[in-house]
Amino acid sequence: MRRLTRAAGVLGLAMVLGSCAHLGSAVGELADAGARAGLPTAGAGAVVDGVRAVGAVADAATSPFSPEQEYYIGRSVSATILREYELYDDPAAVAYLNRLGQSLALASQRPTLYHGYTVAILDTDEINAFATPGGHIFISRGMLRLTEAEGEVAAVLAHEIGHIVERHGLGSIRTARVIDAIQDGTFQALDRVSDSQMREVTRLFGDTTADVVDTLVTRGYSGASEREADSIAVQILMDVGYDPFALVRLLERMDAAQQAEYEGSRERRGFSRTHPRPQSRIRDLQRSDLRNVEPGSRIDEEAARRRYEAAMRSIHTP
Amino acid sequence: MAKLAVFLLLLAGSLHAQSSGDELSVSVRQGELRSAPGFLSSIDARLEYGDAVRVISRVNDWLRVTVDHTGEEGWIHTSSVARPRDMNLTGPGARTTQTTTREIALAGRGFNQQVEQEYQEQMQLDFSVVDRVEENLLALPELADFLSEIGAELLEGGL
Repeated sequence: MRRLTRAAGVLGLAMVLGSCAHLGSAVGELADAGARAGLPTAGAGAVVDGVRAVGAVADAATSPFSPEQEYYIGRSVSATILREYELYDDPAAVAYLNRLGQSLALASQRPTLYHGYTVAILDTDEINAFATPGGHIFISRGMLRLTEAEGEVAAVLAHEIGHIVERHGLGSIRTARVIDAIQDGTFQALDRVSDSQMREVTRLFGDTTADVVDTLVTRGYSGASEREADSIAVQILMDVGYDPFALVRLLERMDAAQQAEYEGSRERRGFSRTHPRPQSRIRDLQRSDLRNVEPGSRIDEEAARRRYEAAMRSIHTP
Repeated sequence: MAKLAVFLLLLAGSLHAQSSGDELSVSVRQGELRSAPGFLSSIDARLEYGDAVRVISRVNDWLRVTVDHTGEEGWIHTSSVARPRDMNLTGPGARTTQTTTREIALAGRGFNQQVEQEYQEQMQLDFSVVDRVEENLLALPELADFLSEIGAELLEGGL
């Protein structure tokens, strides 16, 4: 509603000014609201094409998957990722990341999910973080080690929450057969499913999982999706009271780590394989979301430092 | 100006979507019907995925709803509900044999636990590790202390 009110406000202002220019985000939001309302959107789609690229609000209307299906795809993506990585089970760190991450998610546009948001640590030196469509957020030990403060951990988590809010994972599903199957009713009435239908649905499930895993681990999202997730991260950080420039500080450190990695080897691993260069993300943030934003936090920094140090002890111990 | 007309149509449509009488379905596994519009208010009833609710009114991102099968009234967050058509609740098989929204939801679910089990056997995937990750889910009261430490403003803002 907040979003819609804002959109309606922008629309009202534009009408006063007698111009249809600069309506990009408002149009995108209204079109999506219209789609949610079950309005015919063919005409609206033509209008909003091109202006909604960055501000698109993904919602159920743009996803052929039900919330439950989204969750099961997320579980399967998680299980596949966890075949490659071990979980790092330090209880203090895991509890801290979940308190922090789940609190941040409450400040997002999508505070509730089919199962909810959960965070786990991958036991690897690789610098990386993933989010599945099921609300599972994975952050590597290497990424955590790169952080120096709670606000920076919050920045990574908020970025991953951004991917979940916008349903970027589902957007990476390229298997047209999956979409067709949903639309032609292959999935309907699975209570009376035959063995061969079950095999087909399971095969589609595998293909879907593979598409999402491939995007998360190998191909990466589009630059636009990453900018969107950064933009949401800044919004969440500011709403909760963290300094949004914590994201910039972490990106600078990621950039330095990437440089070092390039010098060491030619093989790109983790985030540097799947994400735009940190410097270009910083530039985008400075041009858009962080423009005219004063650095500074409204949280008790001393308490945050104590929480961070207590929880991250084992991460920072060599 | 034709574009503007479309905007107005969409605006009217979207406002209509939030008006009373709209039927929505619970889109989360554990829906919570709350006594007031906020995550820290008390829970009056637990709702299941697919349960039908009817919108009475709206305050920010919270909807005051009536639960179809119990008649109870309370508040639910907009992210916990969806239009039935966005939940793949309609379909030939579903429509003919099912009566309640919940039953329809169960019939039209596609990728589900049964499919996961089948896939797990084929691929030798270990879903118990995923279960372990999901055990990290915290109840809202458990988050309250942390929230009050980091985001007092967020709480005052009516989370």
